[in-house]
Amino acid sequence: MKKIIMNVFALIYFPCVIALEPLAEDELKNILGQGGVYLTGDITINETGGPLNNAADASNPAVWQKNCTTASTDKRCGARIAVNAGDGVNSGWLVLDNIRGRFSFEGMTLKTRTINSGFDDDGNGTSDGAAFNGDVLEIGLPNTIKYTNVSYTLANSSTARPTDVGFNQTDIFNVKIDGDISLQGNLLLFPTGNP
Amino acid sequence: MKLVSLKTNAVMSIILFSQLSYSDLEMLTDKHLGNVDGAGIGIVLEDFIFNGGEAVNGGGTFEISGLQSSDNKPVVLGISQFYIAGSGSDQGTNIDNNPVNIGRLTNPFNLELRDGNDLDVGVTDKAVFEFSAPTILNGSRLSERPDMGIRFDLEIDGVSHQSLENHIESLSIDGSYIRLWGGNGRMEGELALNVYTPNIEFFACDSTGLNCGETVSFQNVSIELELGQGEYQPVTFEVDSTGNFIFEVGTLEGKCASTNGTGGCDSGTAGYTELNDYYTTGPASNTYIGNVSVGGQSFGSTTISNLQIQYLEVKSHDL
Repeated sequence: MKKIIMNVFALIYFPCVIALEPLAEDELKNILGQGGVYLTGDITINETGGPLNNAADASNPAVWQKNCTTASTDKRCGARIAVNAGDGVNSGWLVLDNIRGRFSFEGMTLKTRTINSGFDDDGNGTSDGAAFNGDVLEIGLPNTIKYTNVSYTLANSSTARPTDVGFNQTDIFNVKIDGDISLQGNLLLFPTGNP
Repeated sequence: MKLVSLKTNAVMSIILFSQLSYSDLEMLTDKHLGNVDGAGIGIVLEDFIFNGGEAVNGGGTFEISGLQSSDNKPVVLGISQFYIAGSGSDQGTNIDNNPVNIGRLTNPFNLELRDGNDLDVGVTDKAVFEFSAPTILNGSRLSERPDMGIRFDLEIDGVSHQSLENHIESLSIDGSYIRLWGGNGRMEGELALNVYTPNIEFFACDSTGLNCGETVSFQNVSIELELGQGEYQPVTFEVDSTGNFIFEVGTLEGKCASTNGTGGCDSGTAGYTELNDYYTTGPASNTYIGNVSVGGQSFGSTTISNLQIQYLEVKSHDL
């Protein structure tokens, strides 16, 4: 009786050990997902200044003291990105400063697509698509991107933050965009090479 | 006996299989990553059109400011149009329904991590980030070469003065690449920029964009610019502690152990072979312009070949 029980246990146990098997490429490639995603976006960055601009609270001194009002002659109230590509000690920062405004778009799509025909760019009957014969990630650009009072400043700065000791900044130029930009087409991404 | 062996089997199996799930997480070093090879991300823009500016899509404001004239008056560049579209754009007037494929499925733009030990990279035991344009071999076809251009108005102290235009036809940057890696506690790189176009035009018009002056055009332009060579001559871009930028192509000074009376490297001394290789196969820039014409008057062709930049420092200064 004991013998039989142990035999049964042993039999039951083994299948559990070998149950996990790798999924072969052949099996995976038959799995189909949904058609894709349709995206609509509306991003507003520091439209009326940022939280760092609050100089009113004396108990919590604001780290950004510049004036953000329309009347201000030295208006700085947007976001700031500072990048240091140097050796850190004696080097300064490349800065995108005063980033603010609103970007909106409708109809950006995200999907995968199999390309195995078309792309006959020379018009000579040879299809690049047939030669390529693979899957790509397709990002469909939204036709129009609306910029509303978008502005930023490209600058070089001695410190990462304007409140750091020895702050010194040279603004190179300011950009202001308020209008529509046409952006049509598809961005295709795919693996290359022989990994 | 059978019972015992089965038991042993089961126990052994548990030990064997469970051990498989133990393995330490280890740091990936630059050396490990340096062996990553060949697999990148291909990038192609299909049926692409970019068009923006104050004179298109119902107007708006597209301004670059912060510049000053010599008498300290503010200068504003208002961008009337900036476009990227297919061939035959006719200086930006034929944009709609004139898309372009940038990159080809079988020869795309490519983003990858290269092994720094590869002979053509030359950065010992490091992983190198590379972004490259399509290769020159089987290079971009006419339908894969965009027209691009910019029209902008020059406004000084609030008064619109002049409109300047620049149009590039059928542009190809085949063979260009940028490589970046971390070295000596900073970002270092190497750059190759190729520009091929049958025609670049510049001209100025009055403030309304009419009554344009003579056109300066450069025809059949090939520019092949190579800056830096791996870690032997790295290119760096930094901002110094006073807030000014410095662009530098590394110096070759000190690469030779012993120089002779005329400043050349003594044959057979340390560094001689590397310098010799640099002069024969190192980075070299070439420029060829088939014809320069001003207002229809031809000025003939210009060639610059095998220009080696052995040291370059560009630094900005406050005015």
